[in-house]
Amino acid sequence: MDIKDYLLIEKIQNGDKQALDELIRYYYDEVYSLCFFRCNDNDLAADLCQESFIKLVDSIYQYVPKGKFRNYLFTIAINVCNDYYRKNNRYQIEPYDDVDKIDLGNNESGLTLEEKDTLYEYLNSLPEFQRNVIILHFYQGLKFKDIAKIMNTTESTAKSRMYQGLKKMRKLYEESK
Amino acid sequence: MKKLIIDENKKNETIRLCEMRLDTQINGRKSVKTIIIEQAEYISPPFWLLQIVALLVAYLVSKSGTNYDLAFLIGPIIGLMAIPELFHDLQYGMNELEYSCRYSPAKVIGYRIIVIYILNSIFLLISAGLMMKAFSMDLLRMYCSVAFPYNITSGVIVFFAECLKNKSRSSIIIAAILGTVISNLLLSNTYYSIVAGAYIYLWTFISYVFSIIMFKILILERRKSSGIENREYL
Repeated sequence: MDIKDYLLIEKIQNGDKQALDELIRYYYDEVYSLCFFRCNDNDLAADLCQESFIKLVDSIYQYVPKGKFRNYLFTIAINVCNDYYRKNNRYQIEPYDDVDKIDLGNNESGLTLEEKDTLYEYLNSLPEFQRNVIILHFYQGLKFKDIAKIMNTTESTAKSRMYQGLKKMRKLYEESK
Repeated sequence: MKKLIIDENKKNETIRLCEMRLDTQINGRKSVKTIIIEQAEYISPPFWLLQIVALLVAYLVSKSGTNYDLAFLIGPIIGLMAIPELFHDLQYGMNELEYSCRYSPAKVIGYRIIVIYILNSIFLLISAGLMMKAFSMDLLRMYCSVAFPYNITSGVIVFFAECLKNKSRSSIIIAAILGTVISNLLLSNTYYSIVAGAYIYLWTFISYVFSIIMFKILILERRKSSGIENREYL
């Protein structure tokens, strides 16, 4: 565990609000982007992110510093997202009819807007467990070891889920051609 | 795909809500020392009274200088409240409540064992020390001569508590006094008393642990069947 995280959590467990402020500011963007890649909606991502941090505070006294704190936080965020979709019984939450508002900014991947949309559509068609692995690996840049911990599974299962997911996406892409 | 926009206002709102939430949280984590002190506070006055009575008896026996056989009385006196103190919840039918508390009953009983048995051992050691001085015998022998009747007492109390589970605390203690005195008098602190004491104590204790495990399994099963296994406890 990162020593900085450890010190911050210890301070929070002693009721230090300044440390809580620092911790949330440090991890907010990562958690937010994780939620965003799951729902493709800024407002909803902000709500899910907020709920994740509130759940973190609720369980902060039970938290035992063991392993990476990031994994712990991401596990909470993933569970919050999964719970949301289970409760609302829907997976594709955003229709793709608002083309004007679509991201035209950073294009590091070299993909066109249509390709990005299609990719996201394929991603959304995957089952929850495959989608989570792909988001955590490609969007959050986590290692399989950490993904396995977050998803409460083994490293090889996480890898297999990702390859199965990518295979399905490739198949969808080829079918659409 | 939409653009990822992080709203600073929402970030600040999240921080504000989390800070408010932190104020309402109660730190449930306690050190072992704190839990032991907490459990020690629940020890009832009769327990302390009996320890003092045992010390008085030890003092009087050591003063007499002749009646060495009376040493076996100290063990039962000290041991009389040990088991009832350990299983308070069973006497009052509070098991259900304890199972819904933050600490598991096994953990609570563990801490109670630490408190009660350490206190008992200290009093036994003091009593043995007093008599060692009076009868010029080695400490280990004296300690054993008061510790074995203590084990018989504990065993008899566990046995009666098991038989009279739903009866009152006083009936268990009266039955246990009779059982202890009779068994101690009959066996008169001999080799057989040591064997019998150890035997009774071991088997009754095993049956007790087994019944606690079974009870826990039943409670968990009931919780699962009623769908409240993920209940958050205060």
